[in-house]
Amino acid sequence: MSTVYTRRLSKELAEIQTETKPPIGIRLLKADDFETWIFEIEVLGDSLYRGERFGLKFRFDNSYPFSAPAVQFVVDSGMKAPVHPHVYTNGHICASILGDDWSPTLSVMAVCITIQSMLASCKRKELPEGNDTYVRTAPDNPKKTHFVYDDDTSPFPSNRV
Amino acid sequence: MGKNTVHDLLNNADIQDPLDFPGRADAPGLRDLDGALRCKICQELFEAPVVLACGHCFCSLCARNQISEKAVCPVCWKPASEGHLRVNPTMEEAVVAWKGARAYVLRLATDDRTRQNTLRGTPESSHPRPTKKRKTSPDSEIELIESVSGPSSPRRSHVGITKPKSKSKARFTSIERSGEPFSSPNSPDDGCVECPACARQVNASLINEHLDSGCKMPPTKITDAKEKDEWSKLFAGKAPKKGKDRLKADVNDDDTDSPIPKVSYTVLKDKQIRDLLAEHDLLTTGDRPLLIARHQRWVSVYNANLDHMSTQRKRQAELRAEMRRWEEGRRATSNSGTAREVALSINVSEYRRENKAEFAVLVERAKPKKPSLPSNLPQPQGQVKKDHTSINEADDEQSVADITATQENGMVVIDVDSEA
Ligand SMILES: [Zn+2]
Ligand SMILES: [Zn+2]
Ligand SMILES: [Zn+2]
Repeated sequence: MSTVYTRRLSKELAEIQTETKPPIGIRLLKADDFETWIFEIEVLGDSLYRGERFGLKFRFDNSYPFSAPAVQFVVDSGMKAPVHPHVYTNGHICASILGDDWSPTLSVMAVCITIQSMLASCKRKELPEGNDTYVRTAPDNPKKTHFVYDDDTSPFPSNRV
Repeated sequence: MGKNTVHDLLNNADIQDPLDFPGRADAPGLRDLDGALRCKICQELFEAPVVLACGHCFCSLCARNQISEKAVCPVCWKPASEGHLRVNPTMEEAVVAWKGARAYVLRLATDDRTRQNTLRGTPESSHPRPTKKRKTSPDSEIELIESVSGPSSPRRSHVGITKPKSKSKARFTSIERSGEPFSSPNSPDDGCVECPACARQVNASLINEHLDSGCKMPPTKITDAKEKDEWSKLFAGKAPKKGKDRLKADVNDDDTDSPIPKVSYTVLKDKQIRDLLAEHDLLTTGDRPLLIARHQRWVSVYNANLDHMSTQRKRQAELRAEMRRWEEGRRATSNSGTAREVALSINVSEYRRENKAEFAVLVERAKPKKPSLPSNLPQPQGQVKKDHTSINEADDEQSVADITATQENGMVVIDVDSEA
């Protein structure tokens, strides 16, 4: 696996940089290596996030693309995570595409677009239930959190043992 | 496999992509053809192609890695297992032929486009390397956003992927590889189950015994003693050659047609795992997770190589070189949260530093190899409006996945359909 991952990523990057400009509102901020890429995500049009810009950070290891990249919003002095029922204030995102529903046929750009439409479709800005508890105990890497994506309950993370 | 590491990439600079070819208007079908011969996991031309039970085709090693991560087809999500992999020599022939023809066809297509453009009096630069188009709905972006918003509470919204649901578990018989010492050719497939540890088909009544024995196959046709002998030969990489009809070609003497059986590591002590490694002349250093990972990797690499047509197989030396790269890559990357983490060491920052320069070159090389013509003008064809909630590249490009987002009962349903 170690060997597929750099080739896959270099292809994806070449496409992002030279082939298709990413869709409107998605911009590559940083990709200096095969470990961390950062995109800027903006929701254009009539949404609750009008005028806001977010950083979406991807972390890869040699299990990519068989295993999903670790994806979270950037939270630092300059950037905040969007207030959204599936986004914790530490930037972690509860989205099945980043966990159980990841497939190696997906790509970095597919993830960006999914997250962007998750924001676009949001009807009410509110934090996930249990945000404070989660943020206090959350692992650095969101992939270590096992999110539950049940349709009928609000997403609730439980830390994997 | 000598082309997969950063170093080799830099040396070979052979990153290829269907977009190397002119678009449909200039060269109908060429991109599609190049894309159809590529694995949807690694996006390379198929390497030892195999089909899963569902019929989707991947490189053998990609399929094996996928199955060990998650036992479903990454395209259609139907269940997949190593025991049901089938070699696809027809696809491999097509790939081998295409590899031979690709550079030539690329040149013809590029020359032809240049000629056409000259005839038309179109300045060459107005035809840059064709731009990837996204097929979009006619809706404007804003309309699309509205179309996915619904009246329901966001608390219930759900970002997920609806998978094609298939409950139907087709029954498949196990692969019968010639020369596999443990498949008993006469046993009927009925009543067989797949061993959860080694993935081979085992008679259901014998599965417990099989598991207890550390995945030895029950002595059906062969005696215990014979089996023991076969095992040791197999692990020594010296399983007997089957049949004189076997294609010799340039295959190494130590090559055999016999896959290495998977091992149930939980029943083995560290020492025994080290012995297994030693029998294949592999490193025996590291802790238990690393030992296991190393052996698993070797089994995958070795068995995937057998899924090549015999004329395309790699020599053991190449497989070992692949293992060395795996060891290096493993040492170098470390942020995964699994057992992988455990064995990783020290070299990360050094690797990063080294990698940074290489990375820049690599990316540069990965950029489309424009047929040496300037291409700075705006994109040619009426570029469709980009909308950010739907990608559909399937009909024109190598398809990564088709994604559309819709609103259903307050749930955002991301529909992924990567079947082209
Ligand atoms: Zn592949
Ligand atoms: Zn499939
Ligand atoms: Zn046949």
